[in-house]
Amino acid sequence: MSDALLSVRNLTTAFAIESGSTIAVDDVGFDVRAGEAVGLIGESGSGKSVAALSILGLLPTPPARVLSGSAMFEGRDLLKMPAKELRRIRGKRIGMIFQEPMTSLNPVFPIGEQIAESLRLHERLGNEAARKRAIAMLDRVGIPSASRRLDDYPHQLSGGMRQRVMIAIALACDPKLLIADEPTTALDVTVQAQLLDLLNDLRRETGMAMLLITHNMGVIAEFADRVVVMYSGQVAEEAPIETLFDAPRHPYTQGLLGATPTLAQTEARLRTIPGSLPDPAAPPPGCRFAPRCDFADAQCAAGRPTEIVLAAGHRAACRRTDATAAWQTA
Amino acid sequence: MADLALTLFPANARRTGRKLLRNRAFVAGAFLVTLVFLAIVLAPLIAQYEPNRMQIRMRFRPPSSEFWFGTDNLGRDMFARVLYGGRLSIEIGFWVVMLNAVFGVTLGALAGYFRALDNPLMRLSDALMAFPSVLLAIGIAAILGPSTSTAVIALAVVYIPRTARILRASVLVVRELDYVHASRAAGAGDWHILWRHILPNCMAPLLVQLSFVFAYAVLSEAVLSFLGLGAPPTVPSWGILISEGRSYIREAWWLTVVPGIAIAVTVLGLNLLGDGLRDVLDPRMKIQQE
Amino acid sequence: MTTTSPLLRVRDLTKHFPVKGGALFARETGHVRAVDGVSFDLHAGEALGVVGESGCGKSTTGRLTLRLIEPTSGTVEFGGHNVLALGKAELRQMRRSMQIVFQDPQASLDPRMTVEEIVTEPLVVQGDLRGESRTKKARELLDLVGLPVAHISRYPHEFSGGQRQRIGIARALAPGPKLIVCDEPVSALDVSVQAQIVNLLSDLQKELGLAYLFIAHDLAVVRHLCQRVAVMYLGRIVEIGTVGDLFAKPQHPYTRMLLASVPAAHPRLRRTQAIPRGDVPSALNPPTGCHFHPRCAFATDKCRVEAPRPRETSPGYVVACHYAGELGESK
Repeated sequence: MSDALLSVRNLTTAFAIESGSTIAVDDVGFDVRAGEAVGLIGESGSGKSVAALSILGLLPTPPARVLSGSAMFEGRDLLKMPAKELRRIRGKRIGMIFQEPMTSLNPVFPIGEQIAESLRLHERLGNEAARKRAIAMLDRVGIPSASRRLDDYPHQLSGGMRQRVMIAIALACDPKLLIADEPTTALDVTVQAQLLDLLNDLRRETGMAMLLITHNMGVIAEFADRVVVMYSGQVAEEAPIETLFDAPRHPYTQGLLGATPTLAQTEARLRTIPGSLPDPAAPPPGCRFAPRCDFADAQCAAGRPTEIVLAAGHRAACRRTDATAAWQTA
Repeated sequence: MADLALTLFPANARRTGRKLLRNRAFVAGAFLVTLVFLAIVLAPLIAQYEPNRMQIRMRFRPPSSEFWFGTDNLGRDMFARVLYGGRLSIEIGFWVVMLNAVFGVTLGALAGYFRALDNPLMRLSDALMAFPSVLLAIGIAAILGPSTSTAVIALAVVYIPRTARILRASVLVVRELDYVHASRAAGAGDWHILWRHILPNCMAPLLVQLSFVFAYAVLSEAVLSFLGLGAPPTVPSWGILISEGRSYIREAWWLTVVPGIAIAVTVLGLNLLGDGLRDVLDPRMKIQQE
Repeated sequence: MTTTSPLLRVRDLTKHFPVKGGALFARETGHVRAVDGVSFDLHAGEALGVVGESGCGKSTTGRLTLRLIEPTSGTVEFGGHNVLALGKAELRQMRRSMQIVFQDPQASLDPRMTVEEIVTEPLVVQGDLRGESRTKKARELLDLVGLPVAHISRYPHEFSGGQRQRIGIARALAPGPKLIVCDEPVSALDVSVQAQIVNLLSDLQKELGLAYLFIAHDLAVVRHLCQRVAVMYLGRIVEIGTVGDLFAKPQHPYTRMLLASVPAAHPRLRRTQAIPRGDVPSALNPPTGCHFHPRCAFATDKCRVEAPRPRETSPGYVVACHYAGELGESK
């Protein structure tokens, strides 16, 4: 797609482990268009975070190694870029927030200093100007009496406030893309809702695109325009948000939706996906979901399924999409 | 080594064993320590001469094919003396480790588990640790008079607080884990919990610590003996050999250098062993690897 | 509501944790009221959910109930016995009937024990079992929680997260308890595995007639598994009632906010109202009067001064708000 802001193709990342290496991300591709919010959803071991960190060059090498693929951002391949140039893009053109707002902030510097640092680094602002912008940023992310909080240290803030500071740092240089890796997972549900509100507001104001990595179907439902579902290092399905919830075609997506309890559902039993998540070091041959799949036949276990385009923007890596079409919401 | 791993870490025995064998420090340390131990145990078979057999005509012979490590002022074979002398050094080290294992573990476990005991026990250990370790050992040895058990007691007193601290720290972590709570919820008493859940899960750091204590004990014993506060000179330990050789250091360098090398090799081996064990067993390192 | 006497009767349960200051000789400089006058009943065979945000005291309440932590004051009656007055031997006896399942299946299993040793430990500790009957009992327990019996001599690290949680449940079932405190038992699990465990707990409740004190932060899981639910805020229960009533017509403003914060089940149901800003205040220095008043849209001067007493607005339904029943329908 030509209008993509970020276009990832054939991304494959391996980790060196004791007995050789394990493929954490296996031939993954997706796009993020300008201004769009894309959700990247998956359970543990799905490779969702590794995929994002690979793109940003943030994985420790070794043990991690990007084996192949491309990640075109504003016309340039992030994966082939010298480290120095990638650094300039990170934090300026692409902002990032992570799950743990405590460890992402440096405990020995006041928060204002940490926002200003990014501004001085990327925008070459002077001390006074950087400080002013830092106050404006704190104000924008909803931190009350920003000018007084500027000199607070991270431990003086609550988890939600710290995540707001992280967002302020990420957005200080007006990035075109914000990558958020499980930004609300460690937070309470009311604080999570506040932060999702904030991110939605900021997206509307700035028109930046977002890649939201999460394991939570509800967060996806609240936030994303389009969703990429990952399972065991591969893309299982990609669909516009409403399609994903109304007519998912990959059995794994269907299973996830059925297994997620909701406040509205009252039936006593949840639908379950049998079995456990595959061992990343020894994934099943063929379709990785086949051992847990109700629709799987002998061929599914034999070879990796090819991706089928079901409609514009809707694809699924499944051989049995004919059989899965009958799926109904609970 | 696989056997040791099996008894200490049944759950991960094979994996731990494999990791240990792939750890260079551990393998090098194990090699050196085994070498020293074998030489000392097999001393009667290896050495040609009795360690105390005097051959006055053979005084001050430098190392040669007949006397590998030379001879001393009384014509005694230094090779035999170093091998036999090592017995005492290793023996003292062994007993210091044993006393550490018993008392260090007891005190550490009590302080870590029964919080009321924590403050008094740890302040006592702070007080002991405030003295420079060798000075403290010298003080104790001076009070008790020179003998082998003096050296053992003095060194044990020096290192027990350190072992206790390390065990206490591990106990503090393990006692808050849910399987301990689960055991209590099942009706288990304190002793069952300590014995069955907490101590087994504190073995790894303890083992690492004990290997270092062994090394320090061998080293410090040499210092004590050198100062005349350790073993009586009838059965020479490495420290006594160095002490005796000191008078002739200009004429016969090998009298001090050879036992010195023996100490260095043993301590180096034990330290490498401990480093390797720590790398493989320490949970913090493990988290980084996984 | 049944008219029989409850299995578990908790009244005014309170726990203050001391806060220490000073380096060398630590002095008590204050205390946190982690649990502040909590009362509830739990009937045999019933599942009571306890929900709230971190620091609200829900986990502490569970552990106080089992006397894993000693309460500062209050009473806990289990099957008519005052748990807090029991001596050591009696408490050990009582523990057969009250068990616990933990959040982190990794940390709750001793890595050096086999599955057989783990699941039968409660019986061994109680002196009920030894030798061959131990293996037999372990097999029964594994079968009960849906684990392959062949895995009996494996160690915890050889299992997946969901299987480990099954082992933890099997251990809790071993002495044949009437009550299990479930402390966030599915929070650490992946969604696809979480559903299996929720269903397992639900099946076990029916088959064995178990009562659960189900502590969770996920309201949807509680909706599925529990018959009644208690909402906690800063150490106090603010609302308690049947899941049907509480989720459909929440009366306390905090419950309403909590429910409104739960992400939508479908993109078409996205939240339209923003959640008011503000965090849970520090338990070290909680607000005066009603703890919730600084975040409450309905707060009046009365709320700032006077802590609302729990009131029964309909049989078995209790709300701690001065204006319960007067605030109109939510949403």
